[in-house]
Amino acid sequence: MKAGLFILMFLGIASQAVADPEADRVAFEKFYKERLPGIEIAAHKDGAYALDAAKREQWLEIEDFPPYEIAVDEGESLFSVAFANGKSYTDCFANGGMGIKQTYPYFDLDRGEVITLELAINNCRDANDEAQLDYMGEEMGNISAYMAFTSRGNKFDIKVPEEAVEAYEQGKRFYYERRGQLDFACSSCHMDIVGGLLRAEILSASIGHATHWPTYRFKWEQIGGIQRRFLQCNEQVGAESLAQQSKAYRNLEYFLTYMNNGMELNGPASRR
Amino acid sequence: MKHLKLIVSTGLLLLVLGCAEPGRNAEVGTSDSVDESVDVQDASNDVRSILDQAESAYAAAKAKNHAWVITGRLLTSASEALEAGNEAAAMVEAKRALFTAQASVTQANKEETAWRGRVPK
Ligand code: HEC
Repeated sequence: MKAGLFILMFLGIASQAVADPEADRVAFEKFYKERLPGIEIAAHKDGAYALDAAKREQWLEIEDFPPYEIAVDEGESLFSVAFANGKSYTDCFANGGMGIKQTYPYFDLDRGEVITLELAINNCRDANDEAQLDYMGEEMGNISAYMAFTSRGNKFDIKVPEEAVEAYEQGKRFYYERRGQLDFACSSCHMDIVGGLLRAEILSASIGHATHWPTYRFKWEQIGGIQRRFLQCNEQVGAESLAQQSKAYRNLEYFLTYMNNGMELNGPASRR
Repeated sequence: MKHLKLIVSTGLLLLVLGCAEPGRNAEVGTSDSVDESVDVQDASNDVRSILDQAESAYAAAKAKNHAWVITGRLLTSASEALEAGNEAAAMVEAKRALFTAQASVTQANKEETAWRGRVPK
């Protein structure tokens, strides 16, 4: 018993020491290639619509008149409005905030935490004495939609420096842990039964889960970020959801986006 | 399919365990006391104690990001029933709350290591 415990502890330490995000990502990609051999990895950026021709057809028709277009336009004007102190969003971000979403979330070495694009937007407001925006509100959706729009076509380039390994591991763990009364992990649905049906919905692959945010959802009648989707995916298995931009959700987003490294950004998008 | 089986079997297990739990309020019923108010007081103390246990298990699960939605709901309805003076209903809800809270803590503990087996190599 003691020996067993010792071995477990040793394994725990050893696996921490050899945490290798890139090896994780390669294995993740390989998993989906083998599971869905007919689908190119790049095609998963369209989520479930990469897996079903009829649903894809309908979706493409919707995308002809994209429901997020207004959000992008409004986001653009919100983005250019100066704060009361004369500064603006452009002062807070690299390259004036244009075409930078592929580097989010990143691990801030000074703060010692994961910074998502939405959090960075609110940090920018904080730094300029402006009130924080509601993470589920219209304004946050619009501004991030505009920033995502200017990043279209870029490829995810998420870095996990040594100091960030713990945050990455926390996110990874959250993804694979079973939760809620139904006892499901993210991987139970989006890996084990990927491509299968759940209440008339086709389960998408997690490779491609980060590419297209924020997303206009008809169910929400609004544009929203990826963490709003986390909330729903938690609650549908009877698990309590966490606060938007809580540490655990940011770490999860960090892990999930790292798994999408090299994929093309195509946000904002629309989803049922 | 495997999941479904698992859910069903966990459900059954929950049921069995739920029923096997000795009814703590049985003691209250056997009391011969003539003073009714004492009985009511005992019953409500019993519910309180179960509720306290449920609340602390719920908090433990929450601290590990493993709380279940149902536990929160059951805790609310148990407290409401207690406030309304309906001890019997409160006891049923409190026990359910305790049971689900404990199950969520068990899940959290199991997942401390179990998740590793799901990572593709
Ligand atoms: C019970 C099954 C289930 C579980 C467990 C689950 N999801 Fe989902 N998820 C769905 C369904 C159904 C959809 C909508 C269809 C689709 O796009 O896959 C969805 C959609 C998503 C999307 C949006 C996909 C897109 O193309 O826009 C993301 C991102 C996501 N889930 C992430 C997660 C994460 C992270 C977890 C774990 C916290 C999780 N899911 C757990 C069922 C699940």
